[in-house]
Amino acid sequence: MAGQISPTRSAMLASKASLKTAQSGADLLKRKRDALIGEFFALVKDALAAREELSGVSKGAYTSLFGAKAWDSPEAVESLSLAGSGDYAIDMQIDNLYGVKVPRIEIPERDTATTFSPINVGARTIQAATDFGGVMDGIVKVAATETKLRRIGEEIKKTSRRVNALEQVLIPGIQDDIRFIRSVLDQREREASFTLKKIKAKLEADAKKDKENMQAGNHGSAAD
Amino acid sequence: MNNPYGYINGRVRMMRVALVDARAMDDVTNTLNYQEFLRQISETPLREDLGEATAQGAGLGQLDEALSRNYLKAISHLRSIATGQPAREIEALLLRYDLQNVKTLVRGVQTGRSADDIVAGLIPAGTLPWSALQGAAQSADVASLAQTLSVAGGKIGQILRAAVSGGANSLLDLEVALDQGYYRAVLSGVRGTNVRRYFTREIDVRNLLIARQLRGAAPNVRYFIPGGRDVSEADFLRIAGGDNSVSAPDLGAVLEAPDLGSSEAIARRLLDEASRNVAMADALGPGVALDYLRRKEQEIARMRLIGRAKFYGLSKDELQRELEGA
Repeated sequence: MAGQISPTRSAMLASKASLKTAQSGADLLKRKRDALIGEFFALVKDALAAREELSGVSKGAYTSLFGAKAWDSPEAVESLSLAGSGDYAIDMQIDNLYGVKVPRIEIPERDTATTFSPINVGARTIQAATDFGGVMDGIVKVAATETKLRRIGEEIKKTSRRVNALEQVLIPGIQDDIRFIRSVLDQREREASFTLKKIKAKLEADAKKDKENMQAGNHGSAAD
Repeated sequence: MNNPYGYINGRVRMMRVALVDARAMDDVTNTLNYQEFLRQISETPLREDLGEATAQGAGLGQLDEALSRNYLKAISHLRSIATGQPAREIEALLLRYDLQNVKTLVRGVQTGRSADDIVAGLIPAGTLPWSALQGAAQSADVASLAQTLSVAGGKIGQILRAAVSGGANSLLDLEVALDQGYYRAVLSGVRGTNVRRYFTREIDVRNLLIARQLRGAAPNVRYFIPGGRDVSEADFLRIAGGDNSVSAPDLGAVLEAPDLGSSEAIARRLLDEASRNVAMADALGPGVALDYLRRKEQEIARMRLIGRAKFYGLSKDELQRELEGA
């Protein structure tokens, strides 16, 4: 980079301005990263709780299904599964969290009214149907928290990469440029100063010589 | 004139001998794992239908298929040995499979499932021809389904048509009409007092279970099944409201059980007992076939339960608790 830059005073001023911008950018990104990490850890707790809840309701639901299929026959249970419409609507909105788009999912109120007649259906099967409603809610909850967590995690990684790029590549590069420009300018200054000194010395030497010649001329005419 | 049930019930008793006996059931229950369970049931009369269930990598799906195959074969065999009036009476016992198939069709058609999905949920049992069921699965709406089924014959199809004509349009209304119509059809289809007594008891037990299930909600007579002996509509409402008293003392246990699962287990035992009594009292009637069907159903249910317990590695105590619910 240093080789491509013209070592001028204006280039040095521009590089210094870039350095300042890069440093404040890195600082801002670090603060964003810290805030996202804070959010991430706050969400991890929710995500773990949602996972645990899902695992609990799933265990109960599969136990109910276990009994339902044994007592009411797999065919009857599968027939009952046709009674559900299969539609599950959720209300999802997009929130902006430090510039990261994350989903906010509202779990819908579950309709507890059954669509099938309970007359010839075993208690285990009805329990399984209710429990799997809970599993559905649990899955949505896990999906909501884990999607949020993944988005924030990805943003933390992206921000860290940007901070590293600024701190490890861009800022050192600009600093190198500044050092290069400064060294070239110093060198030029030293050369100019040396040249001036040389000129001065030459001028002084010439003046001295002229003076000596003048003095020598005066002495000769006096002797004559 | 010889009673045709003499021959039929002789054959049914032979079929009953082929059921898995208590000792073999204990051996199956005491197996250590799923592989040993499969090996053990391979030594029971179920072996000829196990098919792929014992193959390497087979799971519960194959076991369920094998057990259903065995059960359906038993039903088909039972139908094949009766002709004339006994055949019609035995068909009345098989109406529950028609009910299940018609409900599957109504659910599938009402929720807009594909014909393939609907046919996959049907069982080749009952009185409706398989081709009629397959054709009915293609119906565009419940009205045309009802039309197709009533043309194909069968009492449940007629019940559906009557319900649709009566203005029932929601799935729940249709199912309730089918369930109530099913019990009406069964009671009108069986002649013997013993078998009728079994079904009136089944209706009472069902009513008690439903009333218990409805507790906590507003009492609703919509799910009451008419035709029982000991539980009237007023009793149903009273029990649904939280009362535990019932005129038949043996039915009280169903209401006093700590939870619905236990109530159901007690109900199952009461019906087992009732079907055994019918088989003994109705030696020359369809009671023997009814008892056989119930025993076969319980055998298959227990096998499914034990198979699942072994597959998922449930402890002996856990399995015992589940079986006690039987």
